[in-house]
Amino acid sequence: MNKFVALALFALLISISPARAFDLSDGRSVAGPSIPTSGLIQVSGAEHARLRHEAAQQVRSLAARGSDAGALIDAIDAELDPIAREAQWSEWLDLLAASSELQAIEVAALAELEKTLPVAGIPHHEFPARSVTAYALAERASVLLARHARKARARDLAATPDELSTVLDSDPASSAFAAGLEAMERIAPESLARLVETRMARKTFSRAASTVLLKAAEINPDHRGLLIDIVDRGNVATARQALLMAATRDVPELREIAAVALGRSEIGGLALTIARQSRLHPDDFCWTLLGDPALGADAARMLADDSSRLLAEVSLRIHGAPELARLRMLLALRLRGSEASHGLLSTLAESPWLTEQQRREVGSWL
Amino acid sequence: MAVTRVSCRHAFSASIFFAEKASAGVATIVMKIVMTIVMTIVMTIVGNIATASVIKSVITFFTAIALNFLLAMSAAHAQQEYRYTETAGGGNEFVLGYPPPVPVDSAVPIDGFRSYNALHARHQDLMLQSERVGGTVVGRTLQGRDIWAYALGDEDAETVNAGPESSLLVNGGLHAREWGTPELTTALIETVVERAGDAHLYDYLADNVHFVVVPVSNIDGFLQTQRYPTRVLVGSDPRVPNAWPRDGRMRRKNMRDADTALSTRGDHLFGVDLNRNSEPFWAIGGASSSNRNDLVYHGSFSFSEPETRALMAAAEFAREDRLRWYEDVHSFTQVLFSVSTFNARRNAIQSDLLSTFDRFHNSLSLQRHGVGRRYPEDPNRVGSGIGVTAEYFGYQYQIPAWTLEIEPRRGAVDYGGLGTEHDGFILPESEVARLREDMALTHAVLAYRQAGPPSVVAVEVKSASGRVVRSVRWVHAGNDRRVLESVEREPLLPGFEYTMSVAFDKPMRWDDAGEPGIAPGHDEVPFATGIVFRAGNGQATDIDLSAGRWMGRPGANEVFERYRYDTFRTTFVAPVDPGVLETGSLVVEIDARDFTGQRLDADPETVVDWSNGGWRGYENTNGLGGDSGGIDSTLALRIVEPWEARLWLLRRGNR
Repeated sequence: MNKFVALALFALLISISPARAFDLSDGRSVAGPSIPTSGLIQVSGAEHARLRHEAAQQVRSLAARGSDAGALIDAIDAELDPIAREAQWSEWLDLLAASSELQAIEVAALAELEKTLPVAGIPHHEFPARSVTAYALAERASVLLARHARKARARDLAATPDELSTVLDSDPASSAFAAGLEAMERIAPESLARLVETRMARKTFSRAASTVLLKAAEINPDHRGLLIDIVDRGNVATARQALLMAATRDVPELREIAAVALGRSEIGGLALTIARQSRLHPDDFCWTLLGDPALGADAARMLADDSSRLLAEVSLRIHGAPELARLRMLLALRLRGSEASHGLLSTLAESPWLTEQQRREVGSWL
Repeated sequence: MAVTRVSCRHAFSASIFFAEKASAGVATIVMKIVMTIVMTIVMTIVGNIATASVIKSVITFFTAIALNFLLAMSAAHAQQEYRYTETAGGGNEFVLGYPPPVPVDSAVPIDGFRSYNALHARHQDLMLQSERVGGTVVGRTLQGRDIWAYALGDEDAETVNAGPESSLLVNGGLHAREWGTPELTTALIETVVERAGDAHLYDYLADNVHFVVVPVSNIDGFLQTQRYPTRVLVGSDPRVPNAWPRDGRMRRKNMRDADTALSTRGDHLFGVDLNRNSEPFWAIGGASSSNRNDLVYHGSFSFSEPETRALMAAAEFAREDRLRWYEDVHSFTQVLFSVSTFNARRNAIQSDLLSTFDRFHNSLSLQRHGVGRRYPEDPNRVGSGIGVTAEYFGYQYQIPAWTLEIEPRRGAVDYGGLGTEHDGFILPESEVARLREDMALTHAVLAYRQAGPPSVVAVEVKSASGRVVRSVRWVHAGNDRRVLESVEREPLLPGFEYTMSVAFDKPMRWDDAGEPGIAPGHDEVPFATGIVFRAGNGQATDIDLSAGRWMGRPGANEVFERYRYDTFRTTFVAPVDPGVLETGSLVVEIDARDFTGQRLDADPETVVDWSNGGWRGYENTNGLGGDSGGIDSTLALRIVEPWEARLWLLRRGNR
């Protein structure tokens, strides 16, 4: 029984030890210059895990106990161990990221945090002998401060419709524009309608206008009808987003939107996916797209997946089709991967209209 | 009884081991204690009742399996499913601060990530359409999917000047969750097709480089992450905290012993880390693990996985005796982890090559987007390794080899993300197109550099009237040698004006929006070619190169050798200095660098090739082989004194 007790104690000792025997960060054989992390205190993976776990418990228990923002900040600030303090700040940033509004004292703390230098370095995820900063506190604080500023600006803009309209014509990559978009969530339906109206009246949709219209469609279901216009006239990236929104929100005009999207090949394969989602069968729209340089490969893939008459149609069409469409038919047969499609592919591989190089590549499929 | 004690101890150790693997949080520490006690009791009883060692072993084995099962079940209960979200909505979530990307079925590139099926259709489509893309199956994944490699370029194995064509291998998608890498590798293929016929960089590569790409090697794992684009299981691992995402979107390893369902939680830590499965450092050191639950499980033997073996087949497809570099693309942290071998020459060439990567990409990004993106080299210690694929290629082939960790540097906070768990592996969709385009160009530049140092192909001297008075051309003569074919119609006449065209075997200047220019990040490369005439007595005559220019501006009707900016043309006046003329001959010293700063092969007679981790046939100014090149002085022009010049003029009919 003594043996049993000794073994059990030994097992217990190992199982709860923070520095485990097979901790990868210990006893590493590989060394080399770190990614610019000089001056960092190196922390092993296990130690990092422990620190994060403890920091999470501490910060979240304080928050759960209803500590006010100032007390929480003070408690973290009072932590003497710089590594533990950094871990706690990181947890605090996670809390702030999940909250919609920041208090003044939190903003002040973030501004301080933005100036701090990283303390802990942890093993790189791929090459554990190399080190990376553990938390990126300053950068995360900057992001939260920017978010806070954007929200404040959005509140102001929501109260000044003219200024909002101006901002929404600015560079879509700017922070002002982002604030404007956020402000759209706060304005009255009538104001939103006016913003939409002025942009719809324009002959062409700029990227900014497309984005504003998409936002309007997102905010108010009454504006979902805009999606077809955005897909038709918006910049490509926004048109794609509009397509996705139409699909995920299952708008009644999905089929019409898909038809418009299929006419804009630069949108890419998403147009085909949405068309299929709108209950159009690939056999009804893919065959004519095979010769399209941008959409043809997707059409071939979709026919390979879903066409009920792939082999028959290929046999019927291939000899009279343009070159690109022919090649896509071969691709469809290859992607189908059935015995029958393989057989037809073998036959077509000898076609005289294939170049030597194409014959070789088709041969690699057989 | 001694044997029994040993068996007990082994089984006991196993129980601790499995308990460690299954551990997650306070609840499981309690679980561990209970299981440890239970196991110890079981094994003590087993040890006392078993009388034959075989029976003991069998019982111990099955007991350990049963325990493992129980602990896996307990671990499964400890696991939780989390979701990546843009904004906080409550529940188990990691809030990114931007929309979590979802793969799109689009063969053509989009602002975002494409599904594997769409990428594969894209590769196959390009292979069929373009003469510059050829493909072959180099292996099959564990789940039986074909692993394809694509060769970019022409079909022959020689450069346009009959030299040995270099080859290279770039691998993507080894780690499933690193979605940026298949996009990058696919962009390499797409760009070669799109830029065909540019008469510059891409045509040069097609003619002179065998560029092999494995776009996705861990296809099964990649599909698993795309099956669950926003979902992860949070599970335990010996070295990481409780809240550590693993399967689903964050799967890293292949699918060995794992199924595709997230609901089967006992297996979600399984799989082999394909970047710990290679020789010569397989299972060496502490950076890989023999525990299959571990994130860096190295597999049961080296190259145990079909996905890593496929890379060996891809090397054969890449004409392995011609390989000059290997890259394995991963994410993230924006760094180049290079392999240092015992070959100092190889290491130095590798550093130069990666310096080009870093400088070019940083400046390109700055020019295009206003933000520089550095990729510093971080070499490992000579003779050390952890089992990554780059080590295999570095040591086996003695070529530059590295692991590229693409952006972001710190995590998605670089793009305004909130810095949540593992968000560095989740590139925002808005960054994908830029990454693709910039990286494709950077890789083309690297291929250009490592294709070999530049050398002079031909020199032509014309009189002011346009008459060719001297032309020379290096012609391949077999056995890695060239001979100089030379035609002289008349010597240089002192004081007369001539034009000289020097043609090189590669485009020597960057194409800066239709004008010859300096490549991004390579400001140290002199724009013009240096040309000096040196008399037999050592006296030098500098040529005024102010009117010199690189030929090939689009629409300018400028004559070049084969690629735009491969030919430098300048005017000069033949020297009149008696001290120069009395020797009767002028050696033409040509000093030039390609647009990455690589100097001329000073003696084109010996064809440059790669051998044992360094260049062969790459001479410096003094004719000595090495890796740095020098000034080409293989051409001499005859020049006559004034009285003889008059005779030549008479012969021409000029008085």
